Parts: sequence; structure tokens; C-alpha cells
Amino acid sequence: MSPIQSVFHSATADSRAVLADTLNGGTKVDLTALLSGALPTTSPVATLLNYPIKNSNVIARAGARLIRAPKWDVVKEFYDRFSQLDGGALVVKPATTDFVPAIAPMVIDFRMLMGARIVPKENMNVPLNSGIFSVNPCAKISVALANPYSFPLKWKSNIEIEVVNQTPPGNFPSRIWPLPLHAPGTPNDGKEGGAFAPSFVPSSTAEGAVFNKTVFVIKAGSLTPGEARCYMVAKPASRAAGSGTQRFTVELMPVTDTDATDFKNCVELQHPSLYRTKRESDGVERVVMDVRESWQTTIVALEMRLAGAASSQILRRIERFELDNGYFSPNQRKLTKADAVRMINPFPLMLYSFQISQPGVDYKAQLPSLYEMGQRGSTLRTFADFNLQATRVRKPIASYNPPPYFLQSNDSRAELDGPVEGGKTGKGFTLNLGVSPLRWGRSTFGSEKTVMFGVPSQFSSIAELQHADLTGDDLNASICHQPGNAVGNSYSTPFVKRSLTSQIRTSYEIIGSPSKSEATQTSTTYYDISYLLNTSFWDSYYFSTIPRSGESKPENPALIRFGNTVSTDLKDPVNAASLLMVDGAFNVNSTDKNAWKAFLGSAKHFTHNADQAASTDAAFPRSLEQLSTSATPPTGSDADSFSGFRRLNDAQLDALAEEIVKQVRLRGPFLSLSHFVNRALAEVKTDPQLTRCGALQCAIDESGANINFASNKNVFSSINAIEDAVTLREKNSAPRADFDGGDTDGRPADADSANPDWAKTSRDNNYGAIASIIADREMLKDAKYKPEQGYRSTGIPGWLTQADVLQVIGPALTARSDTFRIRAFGETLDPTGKSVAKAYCEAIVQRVPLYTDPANPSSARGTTLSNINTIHGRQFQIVSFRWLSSQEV
Amino acid sequence: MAANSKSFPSAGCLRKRFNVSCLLACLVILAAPLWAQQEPSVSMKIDVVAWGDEISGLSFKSADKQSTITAHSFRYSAPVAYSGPLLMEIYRNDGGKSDIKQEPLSDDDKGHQIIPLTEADAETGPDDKTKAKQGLALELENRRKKNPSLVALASLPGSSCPRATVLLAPADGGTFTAYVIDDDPSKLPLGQLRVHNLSPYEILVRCNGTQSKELKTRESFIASSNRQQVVYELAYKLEEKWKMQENNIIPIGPNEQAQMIVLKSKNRYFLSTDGAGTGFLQIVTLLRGPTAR
Repeated sequence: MSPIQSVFHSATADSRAVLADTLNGGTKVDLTALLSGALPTTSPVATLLNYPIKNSNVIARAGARLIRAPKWDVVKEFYDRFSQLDGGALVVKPATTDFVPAIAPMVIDFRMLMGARIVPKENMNVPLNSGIFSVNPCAKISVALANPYSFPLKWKSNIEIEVVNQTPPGNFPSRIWPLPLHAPGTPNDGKEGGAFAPSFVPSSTAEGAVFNKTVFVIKAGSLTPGEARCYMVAKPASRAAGSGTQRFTVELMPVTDTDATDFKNCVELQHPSLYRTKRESDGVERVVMDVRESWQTTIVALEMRLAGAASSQILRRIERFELDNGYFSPNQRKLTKADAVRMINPFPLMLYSFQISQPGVDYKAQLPSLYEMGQRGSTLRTFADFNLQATRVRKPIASYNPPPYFLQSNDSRAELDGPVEGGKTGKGFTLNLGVSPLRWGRSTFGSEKTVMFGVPSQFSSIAELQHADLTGDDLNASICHQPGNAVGNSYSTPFVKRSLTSQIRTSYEIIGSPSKSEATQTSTTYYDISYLLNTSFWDSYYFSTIPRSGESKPENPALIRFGNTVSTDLKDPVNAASLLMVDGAFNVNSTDKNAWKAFLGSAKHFTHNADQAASTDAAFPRSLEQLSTSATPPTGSDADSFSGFRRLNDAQLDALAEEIVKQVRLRGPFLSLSHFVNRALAEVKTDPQLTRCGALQCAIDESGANINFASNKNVFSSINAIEDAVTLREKNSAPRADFDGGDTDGRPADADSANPDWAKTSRDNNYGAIASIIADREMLKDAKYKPEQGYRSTGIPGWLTQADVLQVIGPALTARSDTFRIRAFGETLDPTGKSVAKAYCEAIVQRVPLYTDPANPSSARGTTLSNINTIHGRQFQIVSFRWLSSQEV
Repeated sequence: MAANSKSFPSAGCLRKRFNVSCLLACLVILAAPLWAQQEPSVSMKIDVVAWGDEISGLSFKSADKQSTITAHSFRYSAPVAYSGPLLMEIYRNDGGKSDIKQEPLSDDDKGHQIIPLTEADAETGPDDKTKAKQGLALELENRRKKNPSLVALASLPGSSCPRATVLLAPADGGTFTAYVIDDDPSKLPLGQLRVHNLSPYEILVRCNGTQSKELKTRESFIASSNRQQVVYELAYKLEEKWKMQENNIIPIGPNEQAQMIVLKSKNRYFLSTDGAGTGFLQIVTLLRGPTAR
């Protein structure tokens, strides 16, 4: 048998496919033609429910009745993005409505250091050591911005950042307690806290507070692709007494341009009140201070805008960070009068740090000793389940803080203590900000850069839309609790039960004044946006790559003109597909391992711009602009895995092909491309693997190209699969609190007491739990299903995703075969039955765009088809015939 | 300039991984303790620093209620002149009565007070305290039979050293284990940082991106500052694997001496109100300004 004969059933040079929409009927719509011009305002294809028209949804109403985003306009903007680059850079621009995303740097780390400066009132003839003094609240923030894009990101105007109070009215959020007010002869003399305290977060816009209308300004600048930079208050900024309600701007500067440890570089509000020391039981008078609020917690949002933009035009809005304050007596700052006199500079009292949960960080060492990994967002699939280019970061279900941010609430003396004269931030504020450039993605010790989103210059595969921010729900576009690389990927989202593509769940918001246990309950629809987008895109759309000017010839060589017809219809979005065919089409229902291997092998010998040397391995880059080359094996921690991409060698291709065939047999036949791309819908208990992700992703993971479900195949040299596991857990049959402790009272009510969202136990009445995001609660408690939460590194640029592979092979995929090789054999026998002659022949029969009944044009669909065409569909033509020798059979 | 030197031995027990030679040495010591013999006196300045909570009422002399020393939590206080034996005795004459006591709580304070969720408090010094008392710890126990106010023994550097820091870590029965750091300015030039590993783990420290040093328990090295700061990166070895812990910035003025001490502690000094710690290992920095010399 010749080599060709040995692969007869695996390989062919005669596979062509009609660009048919096997899900909805008709032919596919050309997005190259559609997106190259202005979006139409009416649909020429009534039967295509999500035809791209201006201000319409990508996802048809049938799939999501109330969804309001993503819009086709966002797809259009993304399609044009490369051509809009300014000197090769992306330009920061705000979200002008609720239904478009901004282009802006990510906030990867945000810290708020709250402290005080004791001010002797000498000018009031009060002696320095009298024990009567004023206290100015002081605060220093740092914010680390990152560019997740593959192009430089520049902002031509200043970026402005505000800390906005979201604490329910009627409360007194973060302020300095318990200072006795010195107001002899008045009813308020000796009162502590509340309205009498120097405050950081205002109880209302009318209260003077450090953060009230303080606008932190980052001057116009830029970030290189994948770069992160930390900015912080770099000069003393004093707000005069009485100015605490007026706009006050404070410049933030790169950490490398300032003494980061200097707390004199802070925002200080001149506070008019006088306070006095307390005589303690040992007879010594001391100033005693901590940070707390009158209510259960303090809630703030972080808002980022361009200077001069309207308040609604945000770049980023991260909602409802909780700054819960209580005090632990040993951590209270206690100063004798002598100490207070020496303490001439600002000194810290409380530090809050928020950073995106990163897979390489050992958060356990930063959690209380009896906590477990998973609490406070310490283990999340940050890169797979969250949209890191989101404009809007909400706090879903009963999360304590907005994921994927991990929280540290820090007031230990070790983190805050400094010299007796004050003036230093303490080590907590600068922790892991020392090394420049600031590393991010894996951890502050991993890759210097992380590139997650490309800006394609040309589109040939639907999977390239994975870089577009196509998240959205009933309220907004560009939300964080959906995958950032949604299109083409298929991992199930933790927010929706595996059996569903959308689920109405309850989102809570604590409003508890005056009752600490009260929380609003809002029905919110959570979507498996990847599933819905894949359903919308993969069968109905394609990119013809036909240039808008010049010859109507696809630039993708896999697309060929049918019958060499040259027509203006080739530039028509609806008609082009009837004049084109896919040359080298591959049926996803193939169960031939060699065929899959050969098909995947088409990615071999590709040279990426970042390559240092030629490679024969198959390349599946996240973007063509990744900064670093691939590594074999991938590290999972360094540049290859965060700013680089993946290649598969022959052995890995072989293993992947084998796993794909397994998945096809398990899940097929696939009736549409989106059926192949998407996961199955079923209960996690009955079909855990089929519902976990789509066939291709499951095959990639189980082949060992990433980390497989059982953790016994791990390709990454620097990832420990056990440590990489996502570990959200329950306690007492409810999601475990992010601030767990012994409290059981004051617990907010659940929407469904049989399926609680709030934790059962907490520390200081904080029942919020990031674990509440998991819709299939078996994953929180049942050992068999806990691993379904997956791995923290899922989705990093070095984690080979289905969308990465589909960017390469997607244009050639079909859900059916349109080319058939038919062989026939004839034999003549004499009267005795002896063979006289034999003949072998072979015909190639090709399905073509033309309908059987020429009454309908090739682009017709649905009810417009004649009866003949409804029954018989498109024509089959014999495109080749030949006689075969017996040796060829 | 990078130097590598062992810290001085001090009160306490043997290392976890003591070897035969150490054992023999101990036997010799137990048979005829060096400090039991006549030894030369020294005269130097001493900085007493508390490993954890502030320790008040300390003295270098028995029953000296006039001269009390307060060791602040991981922070220098005023140096104290000391003249006496190389093996310095530290007394606590008030039995801890001068410690700051918990104040009665107001209703508001009660409502906001939080007790962190923590495991039992325990220290993990550079030496294994689970072993039977030997060496200085045993000597301390013997001396305390005669004078219960004796709470620590510190083995000071030789007489050529004009200054030392004594770090007092809580031990059994109100006593303290003393770790002594030689602060001879000739060994720690101004504007530089000395990194001490007082944790039971091997650590790797890189300073300002260039100077990198592996330090076993009780080892130290000196790093130069750059633009009046040292940016350190710290890793530790656990189960034969290096794990990165953190990086951070230590500001050091041109006239300051800085000591970075890496230790393993569950002391509440390192605990936040929510019970969160500061990392697998703990880091403290002692900074001595020009006025303190």
C-alpha cells in the first residue's frame, strides 16, 4: 500500500464547502463586507434574527430576551480599531453610553492608606503638651494601571480618578475614632466619632472629608503593550479647612519618580475640631486612634475618567469596594502626650489593598491563619471567567468585594509602624511595588508584561473576535463578570448553572441602615455570554477577506470563487457567500485522528514576529502582536506564557487529535458549527465533562496541552496543578464568608433560604462570600465536583484556548461535508461466471451554492424557497470523473 | 559591597539541625559553661528591641527600679550604656506590671472591637524551642532560681564592639530569648542595609536588582543602597523549593543604619484586625537615625 493509499480515508485534496448556515439555513453573511462600511439600519435578511444593523444586539432576542448588550456597533468599532490607531497606538476613550466599552488601562492594584497628623494648636494659645490638639485626616493612594493590549495605549488628556462614597445614607463611613471632642461648655464636649470625627469618606457630599471630591490626576501619558505602572500621591497636598466639599486635584506620579514610602506625600484635610487625650487606667493620658465607621461597613467606588469628560463618560468604574473597619485593641494607635508631640508628621492607621487575583500569588500567607485559599477571591479563573478590559466592575450575587479583586484589610503594626516622628507609610503600602517595571499577570514576580487582547489588522476567522469586548447583559455593555475573550471560547461560567445559558439570580446590596442585616435583592440575569455569542456568530457569519477596492478576490486563500464568477455581489454581505466556496474545508464530525492531526498541522512552520528562531511546531498565537515567543515546555509563569503564545509539537498534535476524536464520538454528530464550538447543556452531576467546555477545549485540556481535569497532565514547567486549583468552598451548607469568623447574628436574608447566598458565619457581620458566584453549588461541597471550578491559570495567554486554535483553523471548519468521493466497481462475467473484465471509476461529487430549482437565487433562505429547494436543497455536481486501475483501489 | 557574616550566638537553644560537633560542644558547655568562668567586662551602648509586644520595666541590673528600659516593638528606643560581663543579664523588675493594660470599653468600642480569628500564638525563632533547654536557656533557668526577676541572658560581642542591638523574643514563663546583633559602625556603614535571617528557613534576598544572597538561618549580609533606598526581593526555601514572597522598598538616609530582619512569627504585632498576617515570613526593619547614635 502506498503512502497515499494508507491515508486514503484521512486526506484529500478535493474538499470544498458551501458557506452555508447550517443552523439557520441559507448562506453565511460576510462580516468583511458588512463591517467595512457603516452598519445598515435595516436588515435585508428577515429570517436572520440578529442581522447586524446599527444599535442592534449581537445576540438574538430568542437567546436572551432582555439582553441589551453587546451591540453590533461594538463589533464594528472593534473591526475598525486597527485603522484608528494613532501613530501605532490605541487611544484611551471613554464609554459614551452604557452600551459601549471604553478603551482604557486596567486597574490591577489599588491601595488606600488612611492616617492622621496631630496638629498642636499653638496659634490658639494651647500649649504643645496640653493634651489638646487637632487631628487632620491624611490619605495616600496608589493605583497600578496596566495595558492589556498588544499596542501602546496612550491618553492624550489627563486621567482622573475619584474615590466615590457608596455607603448608604445615614451612616458615617471611614473616619478616625475614638477621639473625644474638646468643646468645653457645649453639649458636644467629649463626644467621639460620627459627625465629630475627622473623616476620610464623607457621609454626604456636604461633609468635609479627605476623599470628598478629591480628584487624583495622572498626566497624559502612555503604556507600552502589556506594561503596568504604579502611580501614587507624590507630593504633600493640603486641603484647607472648609474646602473638603470642593473639587480638589492631586497629582499622581509614577512610583519610580517619588519616594513611595513617604507618607508626607498625602492628601491632608485641615480639620477644624479640637480633641483631647484620654486618661487611661494606668494614669497616663494618651491619644487613641483607629479607623472605623458608624455602621457595618464603608463602601466606595473607584471611578476613572478623562479630564473634562462628563461624569457619565467613564473609563473604568469599579463598584462597591468594602472598607470594613473595626479595631483590634493591640492595633490601635496609642500615643502619650510626649509621643504625640514628637509625632510631627502624618502616620498611618489603616491600609486597604485590592489587586486582581493572580494565579501565581500565595494569598494564603496573607489571609488569617484559619482561612483557606479561595476566600476573598484568592483563587479565581481571572483570565477565563472575568473581563479584564471591562469598563464596569460590579459586585455579583453576595460577593464581599467586586471580583476578580483580592482584598487585604491591613492595620497590623508590622505593616504600618514607622519612626516616632511619623512620615512613613509602613511597609504594607509599598509591598510588591518596589520592583520596576511592575510585573503582573502571574504575580509581581512573573512576566514583566501581559498581553491579553490583540487588535487584528485583518479578520479571517470569527475567533479573532475573542479580542473584542463583547460582554454585556440587561444593564450594560463591557462588564467584568463575563469572559474577556468570549467569542470562540467555551468554558462554562461559574455564574450560570451548567444546564442553562442564562440564569436569573439574586444580586444583593447591603443597605442596612439602621438595621445591619438588611440588604436589597435584585433579580439579575447572568449569561453564559460565550455560549450565546458562539451561537450568534459561528454559523451565520464569516469573513470573506475580499478587499473593498480592487479585484474581488478573497485574501484568505482558503476561500475561492465558485465558478470563477466575478460579480459585484462578491462585495455584498448577503450574496458573497453564494459566489464563494471554502477550499480545504474540514468537517468537524470527522473521527479520523490522522485527518485531525493533518488539519491541525497546517499551523506548522508559521513564523511569528516575536520568534527568535525558526520553529516547525504548530503555532496558535493569542495575537499576532504577542511580544514574546513560545517556549517548549511553556513555563506558565514567564514571558512565554503572559506576553507570548503557544506552539504544539508533533507529539502534542497527535495527542490533541486523538482527544478530539474522542470528544467527537462523545458529543457528535455536530449539527452546526456552534454546536461544535459550544459546551453541552446539561446538569453538572450527569454530564460534568460535556458541560465543562466545548469539544475542542476539552480535547486541548485532556490531551495535556494545558492542565487536564484530573491534574495528572500538566504541560507547564512552573505551575503546580494542585496550587493552581480554584478552591471556592462552602461552610455550614452556605458559601464561606470572605471574612469568616464566629458571628452568626445580623445575617441578611437569602432570596432562597434552601439555597443560601450569604455565608452562615462571619467576622464582624460580614456575610459576603465570593463563593456565592458559583451557580452549581455541588462544586462548593462535593469532592467529585470541586475540581470543576478549574484552574487559576486558565486563560492566560500561554494557556492554549479553543479560540486560539479556532483563529487558525476556524475559517475551514464546516459541520457537514459537501464533497464526496464516490468509487464504483463493475465486472463482466462470462456464462460460466468467470470474470471477463473489471472496471473501477471514481467521481467527485460536489455540493455547490446553486439550488436544485433555479427559481431561487443561491442566497435565498427560509420561506422564500420553492418546495423543491425546501426538500432537495442545493445542487450536487460531478466535478471530476476518472477510471481507476486496480492498483489504485 | 556585599559581606557575609554569622550573627552572634546568643541565649537560646541549638539549631534544629544540630550536628555531632554541636552536640559535643554543648556537652562541654554544660560541663563547664564559659560564662560560669571569670570573663572580661565590656562597655558599650545597647539598644533593646522587643520581638513583638512592647516590654517595659527592663534593667541591666537586679532590683534597679530607677533605671528602667522599655523595649519597643521592633523599633529602636534610646540606647542604654552598659558596662559589665560579656554575658549580659536583663531583668524585669516590675514583673510586667507596667505593660499597657486593656482599657474598659465603651459601648461603641465594644460594638467595633474585633478579635482576630487566629491559631494559638506561637513563635518560631531560628532555634527549635521544643528541644530540652540547653546552653544559655538552661543557664538562664538556673540563674532565675536565685533571682526570678532575671528574664534574659544576652551574649554580647567582644569588647571591641562599641554597640549592639538585643532583640528580645518572648519565651517560656515570662522570659525572653535574646538575639544579639553587632552594630559596630565599621561593620555596618552608614547608608547601608544589613539583612539578617532569623527565620528557621533558608532565604534568598536580592537587593536593588543586582546583589543576591542566599542566607541560612542566622546568617546576614550587607547591601548597598541606591538613591537612598534598597529595593529587596525575598524568597524562601520550603520543601526544597524556592518560593517568592515579596519585594518592597526600604528607605535609608545617608546617615542611617538599617537592619532588615527576616523572621517567622505569629506575634500579634504582625496581625491585622481581621487576623491576616503579613506573609509566610515576617520582615521588620530597624532604622537608626543620626540622632540615635
